[in-house]
Amino acid sequence: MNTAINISRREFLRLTGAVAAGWVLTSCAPSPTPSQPVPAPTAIATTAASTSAPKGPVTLEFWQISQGPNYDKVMKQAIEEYQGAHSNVKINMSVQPQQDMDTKSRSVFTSGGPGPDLMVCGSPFALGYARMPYGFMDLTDRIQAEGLKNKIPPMAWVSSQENNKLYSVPFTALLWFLHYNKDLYQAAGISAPPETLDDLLANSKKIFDASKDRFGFLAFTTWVSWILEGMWYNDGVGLFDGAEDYVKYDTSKPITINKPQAVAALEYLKSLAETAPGGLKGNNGVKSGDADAAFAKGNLAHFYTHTIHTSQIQGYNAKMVPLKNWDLAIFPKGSKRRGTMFSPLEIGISKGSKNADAAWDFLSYLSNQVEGRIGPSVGSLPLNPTGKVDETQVGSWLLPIGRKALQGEIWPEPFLPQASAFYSALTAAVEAFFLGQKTAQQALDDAAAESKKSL
Amino acid sequence: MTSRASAVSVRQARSAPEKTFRKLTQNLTPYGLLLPAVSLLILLNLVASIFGVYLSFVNWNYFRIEQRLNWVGLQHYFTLFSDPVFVMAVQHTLLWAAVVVPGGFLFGLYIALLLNEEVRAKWLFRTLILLPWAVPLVVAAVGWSFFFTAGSGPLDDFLFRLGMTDMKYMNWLGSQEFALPIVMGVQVWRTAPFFAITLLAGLQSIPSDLYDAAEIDGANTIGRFRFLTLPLLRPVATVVLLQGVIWSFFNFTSVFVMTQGGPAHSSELLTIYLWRQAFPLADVGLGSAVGALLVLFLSVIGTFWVVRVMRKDATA
Repeated sequence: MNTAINISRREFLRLTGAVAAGWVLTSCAPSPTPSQPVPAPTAIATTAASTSAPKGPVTLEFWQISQGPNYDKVMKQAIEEYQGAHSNVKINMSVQPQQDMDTKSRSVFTSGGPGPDLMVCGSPFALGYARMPYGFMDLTDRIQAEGLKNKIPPMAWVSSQENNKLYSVPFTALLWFLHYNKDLYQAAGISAPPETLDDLLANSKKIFDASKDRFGFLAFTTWVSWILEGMWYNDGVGLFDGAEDYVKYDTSKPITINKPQAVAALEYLKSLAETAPGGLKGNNGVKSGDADAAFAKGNLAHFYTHTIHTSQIQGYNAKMVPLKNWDLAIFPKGSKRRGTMFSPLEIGISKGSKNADAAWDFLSYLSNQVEGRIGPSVGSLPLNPTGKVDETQVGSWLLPIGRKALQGEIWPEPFLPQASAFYSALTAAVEAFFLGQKTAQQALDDAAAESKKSL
Repeated sequence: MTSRASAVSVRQARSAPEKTFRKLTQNLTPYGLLLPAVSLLILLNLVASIFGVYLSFVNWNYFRIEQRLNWVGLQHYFTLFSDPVFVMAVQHTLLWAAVVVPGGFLFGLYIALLLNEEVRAKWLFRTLILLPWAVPLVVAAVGWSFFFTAGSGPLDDFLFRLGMTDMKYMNWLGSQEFALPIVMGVQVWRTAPFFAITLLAGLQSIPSDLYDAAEIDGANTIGRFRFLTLPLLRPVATVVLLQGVIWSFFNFTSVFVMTQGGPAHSSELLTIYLWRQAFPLADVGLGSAVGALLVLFLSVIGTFWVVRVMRKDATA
């Protein structure tokens, strides 16, 4: 039996025409989302602090940057628990790479289109969002009423504060520590980790012996700015004139990454980098993962990086897990002591949110109940000292030194979005210097000129 | 009779517009069916390209998306040609095309000729040959990066075991002498299967009696290859070479994953230069100018290629 459907050409054309007409009509129909920008509700609940949970049904759009599977797992559990305790609240979490989320957020926060109620972003982006018409709202009163301002260390607020107003809440931080190999220290007869830049160079040179397969320091150039910035700040140089107090970057001021102190720092870095596996050229183009592997081999004395790489969390540093012949040091110390660089995430609530109270209630829950679980699960540090901390999480071994650093021994990673331009320009400049193509001064002059284009 | 004649004339009169309509629908149907795809192409390619060209004439800082775009005319183009890094990137890109396309093509042709012979388990070899093409490029590039990792990569380890102790910490991808040649080698490895499969299809379309006739006429293997295989393979080769050239100019992934254009721009291609200007350095206008120049250059090459080479093939 022939069951095939026979359709004439005319019928086919009619059908196609009908589908096309329907498509055109539906395309012309008004969009279900209002195309008119929602007036920025600057006055909505920005001054009236409320910690009470909403009564009616509420859906919160929650955007956050991708932080890896451990982070997502803990966050999903936390959301389920919150929804369990608040049956009227539904939270739609959307996890996106930082770059994608930034592009979308800028568009939404400028135009007022449908966007997040609350959002987790990197610290360099928070104040930029606050300055946009539909970006982060002023949370000063809510933060004060909750007592968060006094609980979280003052330095952690610099990336969310402008004109005495607070626009976001810091939420876990990555910390940069000097990792040092205890076996190599013992073999070289050195009893304590370095405290100053001079100590670090002396120890690196003392341990360095290529014939015995022992190396001092790897200044991997793909992230060399981490190291350089620490040195500059220690010597009173920021990215711009007047930025050495970390509080505000005035991008209209001259760039200072080619000042004499910065040149001296780069010359110093070269001396350190000569003790790397493969000598000076051994530092070029080495990626973060390669540097992890090099340190995990056990023949490299020092490694300056943030703890997510060395947290012994499976998936971040599988090769590092069986090794624990190393320890962490807050570096550098000394008369111009600056301690360790840190970089928090920030949670903000958008001015366009129609559920600001509910969003704040959830934000408060994240800071007080979730941060202490999520931080140690990904090798970062919870910043709210009274929040509930899960000491059983795999990265909880970082908590003591992290807490110690938070007591006045931290300084923030540059929180201007253009930092990526500085990093890109610095990488090429340092490589050219290490390859002998340019002097330190020429390399940094070029980097300064290139970075300036992004401002 | 009269009524019959009038019925015929009515039918004829009625069928005339019907015929016209039918003819019209027959003529228009292909266009109607093409319309959705063409609309999408115009929307996604043409509009985006025109906008990209427009961006090359304005100042647009990615980090200041809220600011108005300022018309700067040809300033970005003048800036490009006065930037030594851009000139270096152009040289690297031309070298890349000059090495990767012929390298991949010749390697692919060699594989295709081998696979065209009667061998056992031909299907197995064909599958194995296709593997580099089937593996996602990012995965392949990460794998090769690992292979070349200084100190802990298999290559350094292998050389060390051979007693070449100086090579133990050879930073292959961090070396300005080796970075670009290594990534070019990886790209040849990657593209050869594509050339091989396409050329194999071309080889198999050549009738075997031509070879039999040539053999009877006394042509040896080289003669058969030179005077029979190569000319008959030419139409396929022309198309794949053009495609290879275009792809080579737009290559980004392998260099980005393996070296990011470093060290000190020594493996920087135009696509990496474009990305660096438009994203980390936030100069979208300058990046768009690079894109516009690339498209212009490739359009000229493509047109020349199609008009000269393919016309020659058609008349041959």
